Order: sequence, then structure tokens, then C-alpha cells
Amino acid sequence: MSTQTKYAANDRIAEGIIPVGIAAAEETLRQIARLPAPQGLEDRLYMHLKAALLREPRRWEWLSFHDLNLDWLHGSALRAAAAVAIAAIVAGGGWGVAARIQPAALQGSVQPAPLSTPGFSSAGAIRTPQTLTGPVVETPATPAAKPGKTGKTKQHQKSVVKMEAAQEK
Amino acid sequence: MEIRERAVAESAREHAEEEALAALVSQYGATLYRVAFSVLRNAAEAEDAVQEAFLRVLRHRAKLGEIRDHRVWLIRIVWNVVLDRKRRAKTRPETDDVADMARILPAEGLSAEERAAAAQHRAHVLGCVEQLPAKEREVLLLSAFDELSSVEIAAVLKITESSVRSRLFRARNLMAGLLEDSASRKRSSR
Repeated sequence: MSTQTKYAANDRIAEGIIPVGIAAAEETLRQIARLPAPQGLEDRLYMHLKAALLREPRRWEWLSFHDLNLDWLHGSALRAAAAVAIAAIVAGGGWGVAARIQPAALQGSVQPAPLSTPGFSSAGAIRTPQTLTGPVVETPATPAAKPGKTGKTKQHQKSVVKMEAAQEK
Repeated sequence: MEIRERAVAESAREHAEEEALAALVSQYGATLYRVAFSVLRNAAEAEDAVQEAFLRVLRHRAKLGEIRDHRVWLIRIVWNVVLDRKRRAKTRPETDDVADMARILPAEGLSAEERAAAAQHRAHVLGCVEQLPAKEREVLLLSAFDELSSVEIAAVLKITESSVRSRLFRARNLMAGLLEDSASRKRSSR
């Protein structure tokens, strides 16, 4: 059933297909809905709202500086100077905070664990993990190098022979 | 100079907001009161509820420009306020309100006997309305307002228009059952 036909069905119910009791009941509700508002309601509501508005703190009043004689602030040079001063204060404050926090942060990062930790101590023992013995690659035996091809000079060979002879003596 | 100009703009804006609120009060105050009264059925409580609703509006007055339909928006606010209050005041016996209500309703041109009978009938109808499930009762109460279309009722209750129709249909059926039951009980008691 489309919404339009459904709505039409509801209307038909209201128009007479529904029992008279329902129509009378709805008429009672309609009478309540039509009851006039009491006299002076709008005035009372408005006064109440006005009082609530007066109680509410004004949000931007502090910006108007009505009570202070700050006319000198309207000069553009002075305003620029004030802006620079504010920027300097903000930057200085930021630098101060950064300078105070950084060393503490560094110290915190390298701080060793407290010695008096509860439980057993390791007594300096370092655990080395067991490694598996892997396959060994066999390398072919290299032939012994010939004495003449060691690259040693003749003079060196002679000095060695001399030293051996001196030892035999 | 800029600071002073800003202050002037700020006060102008506040003044405009005040005027907008005053316009809302004079335009929709009575409607909101009737909506509140249809649920609370007590003049003082209904007025309090409308005041609370306008205080909520005051708190969110910056949004006033964004609202498309102020009437539906305000009715939704007062509706929520009223339901909160009704939930909180559930301990109070509703029979007194129903009897008061039946007395308040117009009964011009009726004899004393007829007036008493009409008052009894209204009290009985309102008693049956109170027995309806909350969802159906809410739709039935709002549908009694001629100025609210089914689309607007849907917007107030934050449901779809088809839900409004189906709930209204169910509410009417349930009401018929309740009225029939009470009528047969009356007949059997005689």
C-alpha cells in the first residue's frame, strides 16, 4: 500500500468508518489542543527570558575596554610595538618551557633501572643463546707452497741461514 | 577603533538575538503552551515547561539562523521538555489531572446533568489515552493539533512520515478496543 492510500485510509477512518467512540475521543483531544493559552503568557515568558539574559555573563565585554583609558593604544606604531612585545613574551615563554623540558627528557631516556629492584638479581650473568651447529662447507686442501715462491727476498733467506748456523754453534 | 567597532557589532548582534527571541515568544508561545498542556494537563506546569523550552532556545540562540522551520524546532524542544517532566512526575496520581481536565473543557449550552455526563466521558477518554503505549499515545496527541501536518509530527518525533501514519492507525485501533472494553464493562455492571 502506498503512503498516500494509507493516509487516505486514515482519513476515511476519521471521517466515519471508524467507530463513533474514536471520533469522540479524538474530538476531546482536539478540544484540549485548542484550549487558549492563559492571559499574559507571552509577557511572562518574555520577562523570564529577559531576566535570564541579564543574568548571563556578557561574552565579549572585556574586549571593549570601556572603563579603561586606553586611547594611546590606538596609535599604529604603539600597537605594532605591543604586538611585538606580546610575540616576544610568547616566544620567550615557549623557549623557557622547551629548555626546561629537554634535559629532563634526555635524562629520563638514559636513566638506568633502579638497583634495588625486588626479586633475584642476575649477578651480571649474560645469557648467550645456544646456536645450532650448521652444515660445514668443506674446502678442498690447498697444495703446500713451494719455498721459492713465498715471495721472500734472497737477502732474507741468507739471514735466516746465518741465524740457524749461529744457533747450531 | 577596531576594538570599539567590534564591541558595537557584538552589542548589535546581541540586540538582534534578543529581538529574534521576543518574536519567537510572541509568535509561538501560545502554540508551545498548548502542546505542553496537552501532555501535562496542568496550566502552571505547562507554562513552566514553555519557559524551560525558551531557556534552552536562549542557550542555543547562536543556531537560530541555521534553523529552517522555527515552529517545528520549538515544538520539538517543548515536546522533549514535557516528556522529561512527565517522566519525572510519574509518582503523581493522574486521575486528579484527568478530572480537572474534564472540568476545564467547554460545555456550553448543556444542562448540569449533561455537563456532568460530558465531563465523565472526557475523563474516561483521557484515561484510555493514558493506557495507550507511549509511541502511539504521542502520535495521537500531536495529531490532535490541527496546525501540525503528518510531516511536521514526524519531524517533532524524529521518525518517518510512514511511521507516524502506522502509529496513528495502531493508536486508533487500540483506542477503539479500550473504549469498547469499558463500554461492555459498564453494560455488564448494569
